[in-house]
Amino acid sequence: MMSFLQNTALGLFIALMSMAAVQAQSAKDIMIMVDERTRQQNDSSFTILRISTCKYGLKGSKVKCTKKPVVKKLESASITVGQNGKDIQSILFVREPKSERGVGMLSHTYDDPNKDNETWLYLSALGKVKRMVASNSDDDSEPVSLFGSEFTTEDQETGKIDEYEYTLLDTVTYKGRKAVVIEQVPNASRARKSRYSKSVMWIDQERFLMLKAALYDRKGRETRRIFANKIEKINGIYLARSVTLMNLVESRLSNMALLSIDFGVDINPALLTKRALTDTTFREKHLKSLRAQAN
Amino acid sequence: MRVSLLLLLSGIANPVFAQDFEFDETELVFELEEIEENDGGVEFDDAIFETEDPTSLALTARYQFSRSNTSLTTTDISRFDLDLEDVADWGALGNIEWKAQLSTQDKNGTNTLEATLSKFTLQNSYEDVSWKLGKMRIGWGELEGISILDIVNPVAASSGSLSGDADAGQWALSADYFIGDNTLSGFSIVRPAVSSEIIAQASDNTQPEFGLKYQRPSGKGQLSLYAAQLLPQSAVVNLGAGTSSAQPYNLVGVSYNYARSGVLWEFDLGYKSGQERSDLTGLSTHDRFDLGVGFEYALNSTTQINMAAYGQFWLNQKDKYYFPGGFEDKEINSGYQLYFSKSFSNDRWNTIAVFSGALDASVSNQAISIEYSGLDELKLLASAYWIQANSESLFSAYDGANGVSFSVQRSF
Repeated sequence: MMSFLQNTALGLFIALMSMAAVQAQSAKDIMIMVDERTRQQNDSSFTILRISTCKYGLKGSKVKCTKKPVVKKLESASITVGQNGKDIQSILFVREPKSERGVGMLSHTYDDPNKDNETWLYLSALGKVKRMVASNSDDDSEPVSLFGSEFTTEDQETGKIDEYEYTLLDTVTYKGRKAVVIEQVPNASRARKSRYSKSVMWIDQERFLMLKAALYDRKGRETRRIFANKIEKINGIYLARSVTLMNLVESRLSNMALLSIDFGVDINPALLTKRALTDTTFREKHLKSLRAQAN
Repeated sequence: MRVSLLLLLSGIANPVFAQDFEFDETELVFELEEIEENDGGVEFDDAIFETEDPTSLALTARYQFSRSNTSLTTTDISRFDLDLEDVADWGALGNIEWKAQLSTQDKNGTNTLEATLSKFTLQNSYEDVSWKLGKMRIGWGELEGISILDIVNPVAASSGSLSGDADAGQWALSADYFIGDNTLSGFSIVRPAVSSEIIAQASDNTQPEFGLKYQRPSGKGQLSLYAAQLLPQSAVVNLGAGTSSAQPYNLVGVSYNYARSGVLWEFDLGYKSGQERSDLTGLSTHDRFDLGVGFEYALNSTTQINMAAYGQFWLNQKDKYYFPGGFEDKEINSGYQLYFSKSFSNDRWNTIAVFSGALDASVSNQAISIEYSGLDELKLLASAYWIQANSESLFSAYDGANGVSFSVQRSF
């Protein structure tokens, strides 16, 4: 479950962050640096996210939602702890929809492979905080949807660089930015677990930020597209405040909007305990403090 | 893990859709040619979503049809539930949470209507102490669905209430004292509800329930200690006098969870003293150990298996004791529970299979359910069960029983 939380929205935005001006020498170098940067930026962060999902259709020259989007609004805080800051404690709360409001999930992820990750959830129907079993083996994980959206854990995975082969296809100008087009193909082991046979990514050549991606299924058909928008520099980091994934097969799309984010936030570790799952007034007091600090 | 996903991924809808919902420039608009040409901008203006909903009231409507068959009867139930729930910040007083349900039911042609307040709590905290007052559930122990420590104060399923709300609890005061990573919790229920359907109790119960729990991390898991005075969920029938009784008994217990190599082990042990049982002449009090061991294992992020075995061991039993109907309450009762869940298609389909029963094979139950939540605003659920029981089982009347149900739910 911790892998699930790690792979939630925050992970996606972090994965799209720009790097410092590093002269990448190959497609793989770029991906390695993105991954390293991702790990560095996972400390003391607080984000407010909104995931909107709808069926879309074509109207004239535009793509539009044909139904009112289903909206999920989430708040997440995380800190790094432990030796060399490699353990992560994070907590996530659902703010909307109303019927799920207050649902919280606490996760402690350990770098030590011999220590199982811990995930806790308050189950009001049972009247207790329950520890959830976690699938520790990300390698064996099938992609799951994030909060019922089109985004899946696989769409936002970081790391696993060695499980793919990268090819620099082209250098282009995309949305006014110099970009490199990189093809990512999973190796045989990874391909067995992936729904994609390859991905083609447009990456800002200067900011090293993914601007767009086309994802192909095992039959070689493009089934999904990802667009990153609203690029902003926050706390010295370029990131996309809006990411949209279009499912071209089912004509559904999900937009993940980063309503606010801040790094280096002063997060009281007490918020990242089981108490926050049950003590509403305690939780709200700390979240108010974080909201005030966030952009 | 699947539990959390089910909770978090459940689809929620907004009212009043139009198939061609018209977004203006402030909403979701993509320029098609830009997408096709791969070199244009794709704009997503999120201004429309910035507005907070003026009301925090959550409304859920649910319709369910079920048919259950035994060897003697067929019962059809058609039922409509309307759930309302809300939370509110009452400033210095704390936070209010409430949930109410209005239900109308047609059971083989007999109509009933019931309004239930299933939850109402005022919660607040100061420094390291948190407290909650109101109608709530309190859960103890690690294993779910097995009454070793489990949920302290459920309203018994046989209480006759229409409400199928899983949140239905009892009026209680609970408090937690947080001491670093440790927590000391207590609760008190002044007038606990006790079901007494077979023979009504001569007078209402006036004994309170109260208890303490101490919880602390231990190794790769968590250790919890319990002590309480509790009442049985259902009154005990005195076969000699033809009356029923619900006297308090004492519980001391320990539970532990432990994770290793992706397997979450769960352990519950309770010692219950002063529990009433009936022989053919009347009631007497007895002591019992309850023990349960189980594990949860996530094969991957979409598949999970839970298994548990449990037993009840009466101490110093010399005579025979009975339930109503002449069924013997054996010295040792043991059972098992196997739970398997799997989700498909981006978590839009979720299936669950449950196998449970007694280890002596006197009774067994199989149930399956499948839920579809891919329609955003709607959730569909279908389920079925089968029961087998031999003639010596307390559940022998249910041998061959089966049932199906279908429900559709929409949240607003």
